[in-house]
Amino acid sequence: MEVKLKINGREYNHSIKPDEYLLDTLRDLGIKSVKRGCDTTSCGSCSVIVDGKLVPSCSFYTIRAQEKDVTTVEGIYEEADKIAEYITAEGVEQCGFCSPGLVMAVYSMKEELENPTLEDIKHYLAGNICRCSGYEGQHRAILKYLEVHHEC
Amino acid sequence: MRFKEIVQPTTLDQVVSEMNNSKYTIIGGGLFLKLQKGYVNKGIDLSKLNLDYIRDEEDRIRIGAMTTLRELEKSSLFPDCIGQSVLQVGGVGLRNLATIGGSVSGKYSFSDIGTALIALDARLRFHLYGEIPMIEYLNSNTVKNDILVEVSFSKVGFSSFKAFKHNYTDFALVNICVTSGDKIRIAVGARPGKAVLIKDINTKHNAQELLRDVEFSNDFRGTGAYRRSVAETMLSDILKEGLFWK
Ligand SMILES: Cc1cc2nc3c(=O)[nH]c(=O)nc-3n(C[C@H](O)[C@H](O)[C@H](O)COP(=O)(O)OP(=O)(O)OC[C@H]3O[C@@H](n4cnc5c(N)ncnc54)[C@H](O)[C@@H]3O)c2cc1C
Ligand code: FES
Ligand code: FES
Repeated sequence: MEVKLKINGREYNHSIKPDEYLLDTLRDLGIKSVKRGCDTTSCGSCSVIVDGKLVPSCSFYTIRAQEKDVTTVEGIYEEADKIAEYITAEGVEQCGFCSPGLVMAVYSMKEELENPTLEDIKHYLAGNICRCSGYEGQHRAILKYLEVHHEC
Repeated sequence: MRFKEIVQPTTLDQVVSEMNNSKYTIIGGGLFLKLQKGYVNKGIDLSKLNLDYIRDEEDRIRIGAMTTLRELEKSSLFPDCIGQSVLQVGGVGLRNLATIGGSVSGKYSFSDIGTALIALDARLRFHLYGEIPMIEYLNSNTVKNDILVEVSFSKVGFSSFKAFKHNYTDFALVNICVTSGDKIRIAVGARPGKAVLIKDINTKHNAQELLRDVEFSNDFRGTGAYRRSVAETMLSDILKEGLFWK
């Protein structure tokens, strides 16, 4: 079936399977920051933002994305770059597979919560699994990023 | 679960006519359906029915079936136990998709929100069948091939929910909820069987006595004896925290 999608501000006319998930559509369209980790809504590596809400794209039907704004790391490049700077500085990233999903979750959290505490951050990011970092470094990096960029 | 076709009706009558036309499955958030194997001709997506609402009436709260767990978590209208029961259901992204309707219709024995709703004496409204108490729905097959439209419950004074999980976002090993409205109600879920309601509560009894007749059994997450012990501790904590227990 044919769908019209708006991804990172750009419109696409695309042909999909009726029960296709957004993760597959995005990767099909060349938007490769979006990663398939678990494919069961458990790891967060496929996280994107649809109409302001963080969602796991592996479990979000593409037909539900019609008439909505889809945002991936490619659409928030400058902010993603800033977040990545802190992640790198804290030596958090190893394989980097979880990073795009984590960046989307941090971006979403910053939009949704005002001055989140460490506890708020841990809770908000609980659905973003990293098999390498151990999370302590992530939390340090995010706290520092928010301290500097909270006003944006 | 795979679908040959997904339809997106905009009225409940359209849903019913789609249900009459071929083999179908109703799609709420679609998260548990994703984990199921199988191939169905038609998926009926309820996301265009405007069933995502929370209504605060004088003595009752009504929740549309497509309201997400994240919306429940963020609303200040609910008794404490609602927010507490959804807080550790996956991550924020999962809760932005999982619906109250899917959580109830699935009759999942591990459900956290399910245990809270049983303790709140929730009632369910189905489009064709009408209203039914949730506890009756869980324990019977009275309602079939229907659309859950709304979940509602009376306001209560005190409520508290606790779940024991091996890690932050895991399924509960056991969960428990206490509410006190016109009466005190205690529900225990993830035993691992479906949630049960403890009837005829003697307020002089301690946690051990209150849970004496509740059955707990073994699965890969833990033994029945372990579950009982954890449930007794959680209930005992709730009783201490609930000043109503006098
Ligand atoms: C990875 C993962 C972890 C989870 N962890 C937890 C947890 O820790 N605790 C917990 O309590 N829950 C947990 N859940 C379950 C989750 O909270 C939801 O209960 C579950 O996903 C079902 O909700 P849904 O909206 O996705 O329903 P769906 O998957 O869309 O539907 C579930 C069933 O209900 C039917 N259905 C849906 N809506 C309606 C309706 N309105 N009328 C009639 N039938 C309907 C569907 O046909 C299907 O049979 C988890 C789920 C996943 C995927
Ligand atoms: S791939 Fe979507 S949550 Fe893991
Ligand atoms: S850096 Fe490897 S999974 Fe996170």
